[in-house]
Amino acid sequence: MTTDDLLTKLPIREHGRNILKIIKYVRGLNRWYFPVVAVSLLLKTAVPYAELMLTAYILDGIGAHREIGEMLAVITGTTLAVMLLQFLSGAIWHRMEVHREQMYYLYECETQTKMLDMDFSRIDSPKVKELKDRIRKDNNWGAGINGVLWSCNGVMEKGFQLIGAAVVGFPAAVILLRTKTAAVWILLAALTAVQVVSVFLRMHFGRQRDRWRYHVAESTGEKEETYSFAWDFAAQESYHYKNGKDIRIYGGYDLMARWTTEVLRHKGFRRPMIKASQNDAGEAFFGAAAGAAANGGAYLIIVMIALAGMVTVGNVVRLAGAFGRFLEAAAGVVHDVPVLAMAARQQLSTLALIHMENEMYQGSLPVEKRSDGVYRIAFRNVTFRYPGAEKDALKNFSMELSVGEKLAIVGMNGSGKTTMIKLLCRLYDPQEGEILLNGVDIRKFKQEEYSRLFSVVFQDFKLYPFPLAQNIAVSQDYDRELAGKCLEDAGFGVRLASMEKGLETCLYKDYDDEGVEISGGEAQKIAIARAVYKDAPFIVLDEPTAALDPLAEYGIYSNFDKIVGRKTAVYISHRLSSCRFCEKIAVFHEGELVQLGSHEELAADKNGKYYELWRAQAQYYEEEDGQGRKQASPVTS
Amino acid sequence: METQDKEQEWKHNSVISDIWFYIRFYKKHEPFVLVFGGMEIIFGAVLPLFMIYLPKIAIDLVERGEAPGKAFLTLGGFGLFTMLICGAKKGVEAGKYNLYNTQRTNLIGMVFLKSLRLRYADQESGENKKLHWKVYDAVWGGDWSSVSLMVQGTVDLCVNVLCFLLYSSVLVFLSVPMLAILLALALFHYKMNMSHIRYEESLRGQRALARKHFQCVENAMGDVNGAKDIRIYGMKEWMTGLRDQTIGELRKLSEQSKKKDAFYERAGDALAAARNLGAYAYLLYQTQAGGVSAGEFVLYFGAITGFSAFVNNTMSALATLRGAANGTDHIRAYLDLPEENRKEGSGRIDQISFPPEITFCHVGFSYQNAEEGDKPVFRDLNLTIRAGERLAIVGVNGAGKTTLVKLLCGMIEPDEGRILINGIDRNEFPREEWYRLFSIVFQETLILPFTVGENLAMDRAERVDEARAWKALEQAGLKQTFQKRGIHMRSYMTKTMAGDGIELSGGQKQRFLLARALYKNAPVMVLDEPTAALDPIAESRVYDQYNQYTRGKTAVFISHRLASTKFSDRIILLADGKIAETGTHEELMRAGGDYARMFEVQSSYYRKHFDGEEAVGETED
Repeated sequence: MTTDDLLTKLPIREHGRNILKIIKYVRGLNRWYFPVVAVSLLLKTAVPYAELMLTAYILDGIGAHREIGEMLAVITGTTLAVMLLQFLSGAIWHRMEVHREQMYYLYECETQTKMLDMDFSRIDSPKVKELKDRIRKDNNWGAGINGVLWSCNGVMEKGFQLIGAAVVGFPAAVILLRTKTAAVWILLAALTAVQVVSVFLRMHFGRQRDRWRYHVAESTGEKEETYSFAWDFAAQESYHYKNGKDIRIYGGYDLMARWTTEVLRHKGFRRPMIKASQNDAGEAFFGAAAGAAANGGAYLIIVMIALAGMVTVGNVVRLAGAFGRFLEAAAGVVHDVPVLAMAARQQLSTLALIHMENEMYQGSLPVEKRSDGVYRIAFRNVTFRYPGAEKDALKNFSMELSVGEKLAIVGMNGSGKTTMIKLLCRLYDPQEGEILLNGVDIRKFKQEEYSRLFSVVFQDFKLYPFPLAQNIAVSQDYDRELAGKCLEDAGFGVRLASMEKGLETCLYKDYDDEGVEISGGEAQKIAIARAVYKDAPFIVLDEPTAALDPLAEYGIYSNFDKIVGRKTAVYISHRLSSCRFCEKIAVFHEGELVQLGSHEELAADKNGKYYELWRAQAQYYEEEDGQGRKQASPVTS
Repeated sequence: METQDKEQEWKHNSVISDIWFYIRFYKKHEPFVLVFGGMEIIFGAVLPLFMIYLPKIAIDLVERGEAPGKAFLTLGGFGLFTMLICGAKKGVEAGKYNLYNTQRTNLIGMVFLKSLRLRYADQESGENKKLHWKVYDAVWGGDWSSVSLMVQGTVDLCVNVLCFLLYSSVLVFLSVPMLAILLALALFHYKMNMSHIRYEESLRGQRALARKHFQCVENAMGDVNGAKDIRIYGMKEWMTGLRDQTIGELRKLSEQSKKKDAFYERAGDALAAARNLGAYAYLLYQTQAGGVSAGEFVLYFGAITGFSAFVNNTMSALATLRGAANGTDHIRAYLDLPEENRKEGSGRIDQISFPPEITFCHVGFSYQNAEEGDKPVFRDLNLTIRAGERLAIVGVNGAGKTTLVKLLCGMIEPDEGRILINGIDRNEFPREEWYRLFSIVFQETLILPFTVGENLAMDRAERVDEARAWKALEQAGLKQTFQKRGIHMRSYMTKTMAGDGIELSGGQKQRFLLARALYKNAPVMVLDEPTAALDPIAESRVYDQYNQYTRGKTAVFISHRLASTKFSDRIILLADGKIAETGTHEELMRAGGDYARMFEVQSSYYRKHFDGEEAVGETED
């Protein structure tokens, strides 16, 4: 899992391994891509050599005053053959382009797909964040998998060109060996030297270019980070729309300019780019000049030989062409292989994420399907601390939940309410203690089956910009009637009736321009409907009414029994009034269960946390009696 | 009407005017791009000529049996010159690459700042959001971004048009009828290419849509905020199903498009074969007739094939430009949107007496986009928020509370009527002045990924008044927490920018935003649902301190929790964009209207003589 930066030197063997790794992955996506593309490229490479041979034939024919009819026959045959080659290679190529694009899209969303079944506890872990950050940086200047495919194809093509040039230009080698002219040998040596030097120069400039270009990605210094940050910040839509009002009211325009255009135009950040440009120019100059030198030099050498009377006019074109191409292709391979190595290296971070294995123990026990829904959950001395946190979120926590029970959990922000729910659903495993389902440790169950037991509406639930019904059923197939009924139960019926496309309406406008915007309260209702549709034996509502007005809240409350039915329900709320629906109230404080009982029992304990919380809210709703004294007791007399 | 006009306006700029736009843009921000581009055009135009003359010169030398020394000098000199031009052409081409690409960032920054100079209602409008999205599309995407394509496309167009002219002049010497035939062939090829391009353009909309769908699914899968729901509800199959569906959409389009590509390329190959055959035959007869030497044969054949290539390249450069110009039009349209009046106006906030009185005078307002759900409409709304008054606004979801706040602070403009401050029309104030009046805590707000101080002061770090910032944090009940965590004014917030950035819980975020409002200490304080995420104790603390926060200010408090209305001087109940009830808590309770009913519903759970379900139905008195 090497994810070190892109500029440290690696042994060649390591580069080879990287290239093989990504090629293996591509083979996994599409086994036939490379072999078939190779055929297409081979056919394509043959075209210019066939044309070169033809030109040589014609020129020599002119010199030898060959019969024009015979020449035309050869020309026609060759031209048609060339056309056939083009047809074949082109047909194959375009077919494979469709496959390439599909691979590209599949690969592009692999990291996102991975998020679907990675251990929840790792999604937010520093390691994964770092990897994602790395992936983003690695793909900053690259083209993802396309970069690899293109440079692979480039290397293949140049390899074929080498072979073609060697075949077509073979006589040149024979003639050269027979040449006694010193000038020719000197020229050849000079030309080779130019090629070798240029390859080194190109590699040098290329390395320098990469150094400056990936400078931003590599350095951890604040300044360089700022540059890519400013770019991301300016480009993240969510920042403006959500903050547009605040930025105006609080006069933040200048601050925004300071973090965007000022950074982006700052000389210090432009310098690496200018440096990269200079080196790019240097690399390209020597590459192109060497190519032209190969071409011109080849002609020069062949002309010198020809003047010594060893080569015909036609062969000047053929041999010089082949020779020039050979040198160019050779330099190309030498240059392109490092490019491929870099492209492969840039994909290491993506592969590391894709291949990351889950660490959470996966049990194999099936969860018994009970028609009576008799499931019992028990927390036994559970202690849990979030990765990287300094304090336990839950401490030595024990509690039981039995079937049909309605439990409320109250407590201050950060007291561990939501944490307990996350452990209950096994999004995390506790460090100490155990959680039992009907007496069996929940780690022993198959996670998918265990998850089926719970319907949870989290505080920060998420709806997706797809059709409403799919959001409810979390599937492309759904039971229309049931989905509609669940929405109705959750209090969304009126709005649903006003929607033209009804259940097919997309939420928000991200996917469908004709989607609808929904308010926070409406979103909550949809989330509740989704929980109801699932029909799981446990239903958990975490602050389900925070965005609702009093009447809507009342609607949900009074429907609660109907919504929940005989299911076990856990209800978290800052509005303590909601507790009154529940038989049992658990009071959390700093990760511990401090009180458990009915509202009346708890409210009677004036030193308890519950009394404190209750008072804090109830005081505002009390009527003052005739003497201006507040009637304090929240307890039913 | 207006949006339709805009839609058309986007398409009106010609390619030439878009190119001109970039010339001005680069002249201002990175003139080297223009210098390099110009050099590339010159070198690029002459280079092919050198390339086809090389074999001719070589053959001529051999045919003439030139002395080796002279041959060496002629060909060597020519080769050296070619080499330099070739290197220079590629050098400037590559050299400008980073430079023009880097400016895309600058463009993004400019567009970002522009979005903040728009009237807020324009920034938020669906039409402009869509346009904004398209602007990003035009700037993102590396080499395929509209900006990059325009730059390279312009250079390519110039190079190929020049080459076309140069080659034509070579071929004129060969044969004018030949040139005419070639031109006719080029015209035919042009027609063919145009229909190919038009087909591609017809797919563009569909492809953009399919890409958008794909990205949407991609974002949905990758969004960490949904990870809990994805696991609990087992959404993997749904998501991957949608993913495969959208990739299927893309694949279908790519199949259609590649099929056409293949067809036109085959047709081009066939055409080239026919042209080559004709050229070979013609040149052969010419050599037989003695009009053309072997060297000229190679030269002219090169010119003929090259000629077609330039026609092709010109076409594809044009196609590229046409496609990219679309994106450029979006960028320009966005940069040309009208801005809010930030500076002009005679009104000065310093000249009015504090706390101010704000009056809504026959205000009418409705949202332009009817599709945006059941958004409220105001008609003939009259409301005076008295100087120093603490006003509470209540109402069910969708009654218009938030819209009222947006009208008040100037995020949206009334369609009719006026908004006055101490009797002066607000339009007399430049917007920047008007905004100085308010400290507002809005409902949904993100913390910006800058430093604590910058977030509080909304100003550059060096201008943050630290003592005042700490005081604001203290008042909002965050000072202790921050000090305990070792947070200082230069600590970064959120992990976006700094790995060790500060993350706040929902409740802390709300208190932090309250601190920002307190730091500003403006004469009008508006709190929109500031306690939704707070626990009872913290909520009660905010209520207790509300008096202190609003001392000497005009204040507006919006909340679902009706308890909060008790410490307000006056309450208005909004229903369907109208003020349904107004008065003190006691007055409204006595009146026994909707407010009383809402309060009843909520307080019944807390009231002393709670009697199970019966209490819910009870009404006051």
